[in-house]
Amino acid sequence: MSPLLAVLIVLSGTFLAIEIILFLLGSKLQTRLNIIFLFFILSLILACLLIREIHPVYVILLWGGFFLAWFGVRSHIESSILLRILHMIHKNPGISPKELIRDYEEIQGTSERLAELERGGFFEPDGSSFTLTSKGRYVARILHAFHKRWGIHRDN
Amino acid sequence: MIPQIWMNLLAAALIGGVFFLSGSRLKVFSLLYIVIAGGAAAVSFFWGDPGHNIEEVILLGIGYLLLFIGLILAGAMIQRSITLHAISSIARNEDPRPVIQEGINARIEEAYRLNFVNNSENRLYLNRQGKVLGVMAGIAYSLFRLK
Repeated sequence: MSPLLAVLIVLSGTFLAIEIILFLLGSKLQTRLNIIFLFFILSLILACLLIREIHPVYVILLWGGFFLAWFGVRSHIESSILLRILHMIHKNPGISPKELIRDYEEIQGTSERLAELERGGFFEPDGSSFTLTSKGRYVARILHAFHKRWGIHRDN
Repeated sequence: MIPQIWMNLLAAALIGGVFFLSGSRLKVFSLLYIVIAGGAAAVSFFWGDPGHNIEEVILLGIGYLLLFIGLILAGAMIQRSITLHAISSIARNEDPRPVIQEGINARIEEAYRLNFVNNSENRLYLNRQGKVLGVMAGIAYSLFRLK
């Protein structure tokens, strides 16, 4: 078998396996990041060991690029507000704006988004306030550096 | 002869630096990315380890292309993700709920302005492009088992 084909087969298998895991667990990407990342690393090591004809640098580059692109597309589909409301209007043509916002809040509103962050282990509720976990603090530090450099101050 | 590993590690470090420093200036980032990735690929193949084949060239091309798409998406996420902004607000000891609520309201307004939706007497309908996207979103939600 051609080495290129072998690399692409292992990569497709990794992608399929991760999608099956997420499907079976019925969870969103950010909730299962640790498992997904571990799976990607293991499949990368496997590919480097099995396909000796291709220099590992190219395999690492392909895996890194694929992971980043797949993560971006997948998380966008999961949380895009535009896609969600287009889907809701498609299912229910003639809905009023007020009903749309009310229905949206039930599916992907503030409480649901906070619950997802909690399930993902980014923070713990602390009475009426919130406390970041070590994972949450790590993400916040990276974000702070980017937001400071890119001049983003709550552009919501 | 320059070892592949050092050449591509250098390119990855440069790309990471450019991504961080170029901020939201997409054109600057894209241009520098093409120069760095193209340069690394050229140096790797003309002056790198001997014994390359066409399959490695194809993999390198696919890898750099996916990396570019991934970084553009990551940049958009860092700038616009409501969830990430909520984490930032918790880090500042603020209540994340208003940030999320403001974000949702702003995005819904933005979605109306994108012309996929017609508002007729306070009732919302999709135009043709909106319908296509609505159907595609429905398929994706079923495939990914999202409620």
